[in-house]
Amino acid sequence: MFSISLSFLVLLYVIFVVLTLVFAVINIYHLVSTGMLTLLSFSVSGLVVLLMFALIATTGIYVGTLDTTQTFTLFNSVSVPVGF
Amino acid sequence: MRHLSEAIPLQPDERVKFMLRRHPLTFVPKIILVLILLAMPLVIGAFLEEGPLADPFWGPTLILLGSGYTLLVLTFFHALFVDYYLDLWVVTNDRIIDIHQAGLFKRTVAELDLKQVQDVASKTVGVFGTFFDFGNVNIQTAGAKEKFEFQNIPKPHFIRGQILKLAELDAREDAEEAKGWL
Repeated sequence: MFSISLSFLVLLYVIFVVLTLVFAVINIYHLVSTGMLTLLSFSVSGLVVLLMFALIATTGIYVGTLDTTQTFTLFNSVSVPVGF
Repeated sequence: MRHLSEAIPLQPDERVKFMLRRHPLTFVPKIILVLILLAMPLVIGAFLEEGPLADPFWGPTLILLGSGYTLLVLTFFHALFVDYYLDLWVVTNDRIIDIHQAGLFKRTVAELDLKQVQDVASKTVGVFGTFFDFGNVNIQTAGAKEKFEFQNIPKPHFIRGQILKLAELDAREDAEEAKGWL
């Protein structure tokens, strides 16, 4: 039997969140290192990061209400009843 | 915080005349694309509201997927903006610097001395280019070097004239300097 639990999916989501935040930092680093952090680029980057944090926070609050022990069975092995 | 002058060191008597980027209107299609991509989970969610979204396992899974997808689109938009914003052409009284950002990890900086400028051509193409006055400026250089192209910059015809003037002025200053040496 192979089943996936919600907690595993939440873990995958957290890894993905970390990756996207790393990319946001790389983008901002590019702007700073090239001397291009102006009011416009700061505002756009700030807006993107703010939206990302709002989304992550909303999803986090939603995940907090979940029963993460829920599982979904992908493959079920065929079992033969004993004494059959 | 680093200033542009640290990223592009200038000579003591060198002054920045123009800093050119693509016209902001050329970024509008990308904004529209991102808005469409952002709206997709909401549209799909509206169709699934009474089906899989009500399921105790698939509902949270789809919400996590939707959240991850939205984060991906936001990261994509941020990368597009940085790519747009870091593409820059700097015209000084001595040279032209072409800074090209290709993706997140590739950056090309090329320079051209104004003395090498042979021919400058400007063109506006299309309805938007004509109405909002943006287009390309092609700079033909002496020698086998590839030509410089400013793409979709505002006021291309004005910039062409200014580059020709700056090139002429630079050549005149060099000639006077050479006379002084003799």
